[in-house]
Amino acid sequence: MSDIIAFSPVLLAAITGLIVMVLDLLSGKNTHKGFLGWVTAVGLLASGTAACLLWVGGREISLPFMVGMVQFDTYGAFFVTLIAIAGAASSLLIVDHNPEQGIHDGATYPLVAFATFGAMLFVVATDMILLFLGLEIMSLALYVLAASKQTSPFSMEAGVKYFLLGALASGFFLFGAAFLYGATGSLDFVTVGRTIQDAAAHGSGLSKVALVMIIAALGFKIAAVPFHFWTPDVYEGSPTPISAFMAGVVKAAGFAVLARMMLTIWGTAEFSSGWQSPGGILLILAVISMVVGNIMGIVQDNVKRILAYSSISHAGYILLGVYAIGLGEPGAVGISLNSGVPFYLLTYVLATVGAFGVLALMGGQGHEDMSLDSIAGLGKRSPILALILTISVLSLAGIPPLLGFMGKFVLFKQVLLADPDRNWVWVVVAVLNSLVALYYYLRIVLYVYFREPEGEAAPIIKSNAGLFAVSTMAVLVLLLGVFPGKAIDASNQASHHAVLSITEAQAAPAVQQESAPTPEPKQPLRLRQVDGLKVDPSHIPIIRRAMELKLRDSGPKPK
Amino acid sequence: MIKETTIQSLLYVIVFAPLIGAIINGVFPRVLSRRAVSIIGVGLPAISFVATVLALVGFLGLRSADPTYTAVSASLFSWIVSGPISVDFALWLDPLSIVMTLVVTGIGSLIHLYSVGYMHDDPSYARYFSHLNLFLFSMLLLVLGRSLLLLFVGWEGVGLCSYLLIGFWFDDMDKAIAGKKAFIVNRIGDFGFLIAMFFLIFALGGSLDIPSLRAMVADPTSIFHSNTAMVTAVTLLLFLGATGKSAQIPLYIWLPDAMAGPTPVSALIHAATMVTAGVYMIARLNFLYVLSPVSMAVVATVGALTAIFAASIGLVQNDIKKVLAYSTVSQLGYMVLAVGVGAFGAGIFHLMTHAFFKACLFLGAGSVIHAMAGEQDIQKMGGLRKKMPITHITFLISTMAIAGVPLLSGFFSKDEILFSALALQHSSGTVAPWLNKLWFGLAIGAALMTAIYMFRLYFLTFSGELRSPDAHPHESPASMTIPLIVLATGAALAGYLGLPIPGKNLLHNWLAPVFAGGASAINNTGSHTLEYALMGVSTVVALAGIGLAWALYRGPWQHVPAKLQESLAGLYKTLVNKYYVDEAYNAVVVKPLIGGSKLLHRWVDAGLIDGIAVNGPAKALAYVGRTARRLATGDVQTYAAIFAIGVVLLVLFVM
Amino acid sequence: MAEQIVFYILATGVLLGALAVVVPPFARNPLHAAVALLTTFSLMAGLFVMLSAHLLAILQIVVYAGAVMILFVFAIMLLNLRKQDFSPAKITAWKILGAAAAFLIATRIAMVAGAAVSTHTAVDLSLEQYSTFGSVHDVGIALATKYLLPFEITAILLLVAVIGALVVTRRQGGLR
Repeated sequence: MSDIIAFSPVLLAAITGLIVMVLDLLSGKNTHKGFLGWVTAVGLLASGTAACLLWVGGREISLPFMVGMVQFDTYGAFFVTLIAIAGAASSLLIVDHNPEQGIHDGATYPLVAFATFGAMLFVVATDMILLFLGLEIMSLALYVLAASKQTSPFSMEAGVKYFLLGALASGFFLFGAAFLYGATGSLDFVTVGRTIQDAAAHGSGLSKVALVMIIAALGFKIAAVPFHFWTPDVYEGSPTPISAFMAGVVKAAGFAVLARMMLTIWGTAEFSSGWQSPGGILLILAVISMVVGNIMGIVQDNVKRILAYSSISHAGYILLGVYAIGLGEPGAVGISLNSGVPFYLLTYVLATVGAFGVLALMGGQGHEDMSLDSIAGLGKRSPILALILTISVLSLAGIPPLLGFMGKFVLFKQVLLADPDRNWVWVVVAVLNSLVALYYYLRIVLYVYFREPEGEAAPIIKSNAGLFAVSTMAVLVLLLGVFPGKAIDASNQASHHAVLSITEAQAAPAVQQESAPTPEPKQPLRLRQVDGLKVDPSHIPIIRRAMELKLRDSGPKPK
Repeated sequence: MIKETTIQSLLYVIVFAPLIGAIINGVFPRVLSRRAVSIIGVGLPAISFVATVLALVGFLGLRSADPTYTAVSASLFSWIVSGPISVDFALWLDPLSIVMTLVVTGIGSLIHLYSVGYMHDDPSYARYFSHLNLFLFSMLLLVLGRSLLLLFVGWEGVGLCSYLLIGFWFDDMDKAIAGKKAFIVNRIGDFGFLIAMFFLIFALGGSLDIPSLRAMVADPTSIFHSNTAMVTAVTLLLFLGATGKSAQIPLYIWLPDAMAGPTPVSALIHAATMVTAGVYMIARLNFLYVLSPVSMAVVATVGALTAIFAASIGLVQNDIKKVLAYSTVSQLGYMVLAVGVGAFGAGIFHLMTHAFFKACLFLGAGSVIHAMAGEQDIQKMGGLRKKMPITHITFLISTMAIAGVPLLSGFFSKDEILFSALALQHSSGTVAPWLNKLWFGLAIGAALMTAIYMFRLYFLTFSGELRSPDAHPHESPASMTIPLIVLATGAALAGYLGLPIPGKNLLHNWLAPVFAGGASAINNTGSHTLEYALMGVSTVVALAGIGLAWALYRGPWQHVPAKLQESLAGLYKTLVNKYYVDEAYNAVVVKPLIGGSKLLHRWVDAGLIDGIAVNGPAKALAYVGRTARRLATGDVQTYAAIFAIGVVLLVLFVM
Repeated sequence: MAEQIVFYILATGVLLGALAVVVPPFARNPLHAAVALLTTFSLMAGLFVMLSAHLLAILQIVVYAGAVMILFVFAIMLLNLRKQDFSPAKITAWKILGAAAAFLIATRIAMVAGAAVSTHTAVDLSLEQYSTFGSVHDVGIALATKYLLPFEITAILLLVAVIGALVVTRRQGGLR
């Protein structure tokens, strides 16, 4: 029974999809389908709420479900909540966007719900097969959603492109998973991780290739260079609420999985240290993603493309954080306190969904021009949308006191903390990049406030649902930026427990040996020693508490 | 007797009153009448000022009760608790921040009042006050923030407000671009600041909380004393931030362009307050800076060079606000020089006096521009003395103050800097003594030029006959002249807070506890005789400059400037074009970046994607056919190929 | 020995068939390409048989070679594409690079996989405890126990595919 409870947030999303589908059939052919968007949003938020309740309820931090298939811990809860929020916002954006764009289709909503379900499954899965199912459910729904504006050749093109390249990425993922199975004889993360770490000597060549392929497949989903080419085309061509969904949900899910894999599967020295390791290539991807994303962003004249390149560069920053995760040993304090990646994703998702959301509310009556000229004078036409767009974009640029600044601060801080002697170079590169990025973010603000539209501007869609969604995003960006304490705490807890539940599982005897009287000896706790790093005396209690917590949690569990 | 808890509450009032004003005027711009907007927009900064005065009184009371009392701290909430970092959202009132807060709220309130008259006919009246109040809020955060991070938030906040206000009249594209330039150049500096904070925490294990940091540095066995290279890196990176915000070489280029904003904005942000943030930051971290003689020398040299460089450009400008802008850059150079040689008190002293006379000058210039119906070219002015008596008198007093006429405020503060440049030496002895002579030489040269260009401005504007017959200048309304009178009084008298008499220098005594850490590392090699002798020298220099200006623009040699222009055409052109620095930046930084980006775009993007964005939906129909073909022949296959190549490269890399 | 000969024949057939699907001149005619694909699928089933995965082999024939291929052929015939509907085949630098990349990946993987396999000891399927390996019974047990959750969630994947197919193919209107 507790299995079902642990899985309930994810199931709720699927149930939402089913309910919406039935409601669509029951409601008449000519009824306005907008209410389905609200139902979807409520259902997805319920799923997010369930995740929060499980978290706050102080039950066990991890509820293994179905023998190692699913790990619903606070890490999962964090991302399920984030994905639920972004998914709900996207479905609210569709409510008035689609009719204005001539898409009268109730099937959009169940697809959004199922895509969200897929993303959630992706995040909580700890088995390659389930992971793949989550990936495919999410992707398949999105291929269709991208092409859902049938009157637009751009939309069709986006759908086909995304589908063809996505299939290629899925192929690489399957290859990777299969090779990993070949190398380790298992599909669940924990066993794979343990086997790789125990027997790093033999079969490591195959598992390295396998990991690279999995990285490539996930790199496609998170739009890292050089797997990013589809991003601008697809974000531009898809209906804008779907672009918001892709930029928010898909990226969050992809990174959540990548980070979890980093912790469980290749969090070993051999696999993550040095340049020439699966971990090390994350660094390469990170740097080229940042640079290419930002430089290409400068010359774009289309707001959706600008945001697409912005999302590519953000993938670079986050990859840097993921790379840093691997620098420590699994479970070392330096990692377990690493909230950088989840927190940054939170900041990024809220801001980017807000920005795409505002674009989704522009261009009513079939207009779909998203060039910079089309947003000129938005400040006069709709001050509230202009303000939301500005807040979102400035947050993406990392201007304090908005949330984006906090995200960058925490993330870069932790990248530096992982290896101060070497990583300062990458932090400098990242900060320089965010400087370059400012140019195109400011261009958006410049056009919004300081330019007059040339000719007839596209009418703005009047949408309570959409306005509610984007203003919620903007308020969150602003509020959490000023009071980030709770959010950082939450991300801390999430990543902390992600480490704990994994190390716990790895330390526990394998399933077949459950009757064995003594568990395998635990690895001794080590505080990563960093040269030149002086720990502030006032923080010692925090670190000690973390270590004690870990000691307690990783001890043998009473049956 | 005001209790400490009361001061803490007052601190919140000081900081948040302008924010409330900004929110009210920002959210209900159409609901409120103009009158209500003015009352809110001016009233809340005034409340902030009154609260500051009360806090000062309370602080004095506490200090008289307990002489060792140094600061009031008020923590609002725990802001970031993340791993080894915990930052409180805390405010910090010590003698230094009291001085700064008084300047910011006092002069700020006056300029808000002035704006009521100046912006009277502007359609976006409420937006203007909303932004100006928001600026004040950010500036107060910067000044009162207890941690470097909060200081940085204020630092970015003032940059953002500055951007919004420079581009306030955005119908003119140039102005919007000027705002963007200011913001981006500032961000280059902020980059240094941000990196410095990271280094401070991780390479040095330092705290972002300034009092804690001070306590750490005070320990002679700490890493700060052994790892001088890292301290130098941190301080220089912070200084990069300061060069951005305080418009020093190499990042000063944004300030002259920033004059595109409304004149009160120039007075408040680009003369009196925001641009002094860099000086304030260095003075605030004096204990850290003195650990690195190299950084100190760099700071002083950059300051001295900026002072003379900007002054020389100021000699030939004809736009009244541009002259004042270069003058500001030059005076900021003085302040940076002062903190660079270790005369932190003198730097803050000049900051304060400069705030008075430069704000007065800008507001006077605003009054003139207002009267001349928007004309800014001083060659077309003249003879305004009689038409605008109050503006004239206040402008003259401030001009004399900045030129260094004895017994006015600028005389005392500038003189102290000149003396410090020559006499103060770092106790480590690693700074070559000839540098002191160089700094002094540059500074005195700049002082001469200051006197010349300021009085050139004065004579061309106010004396003689009006050179544009269509203009009908008139004196400005009371809401504009009252601030002028108050500021001119300050410009005349503020210097008496820092009289160069041993033991009687009120400001120095007041600030001594803050600069105790820094002062211990600085040796004073000069005597009082030297100081008084230098006073004589600078008096002569000032008077010589004024005399020269009179002779060239009012007196017997009026034909000389034109001749000089001809005979020294090369130099003149260089100066008018500001040493071609903007052009150089364009060629070296901006163009390569944009060019590289375009190149990449052409190779990778346009070459493959052939720009859907450019074609637009108008061509959508023709596009349908092409889409199918493209899918078959080009794009997707190419993308897939690149995907596969990427995987191969990664695999080869790993194996 | 005989087993190895059979393996190499089958494997060569699979590879040649797969190449014929995408490489001209076969690929110029959709029906020819479909037949090539059918060959690949069928020979793949042979490989499964050799691995004692009988159920998989049967499913391969029934589902892929049977159902999927029939759909392909139907689609091709309904579309009724002619030669001139295809753009001329062009050999671009990217294609060459891509082909080289694919080749490199394949050889690289073959090398590391070979190295990994050589360290494993083969399982003797003639032993008693492996007698039911690959049988319907064994696969069924696995699907209904350990892999029950993925098995059930596949239903949602199929549902999404059905909705997707409807959305893509149907004209504007409700979901019906």
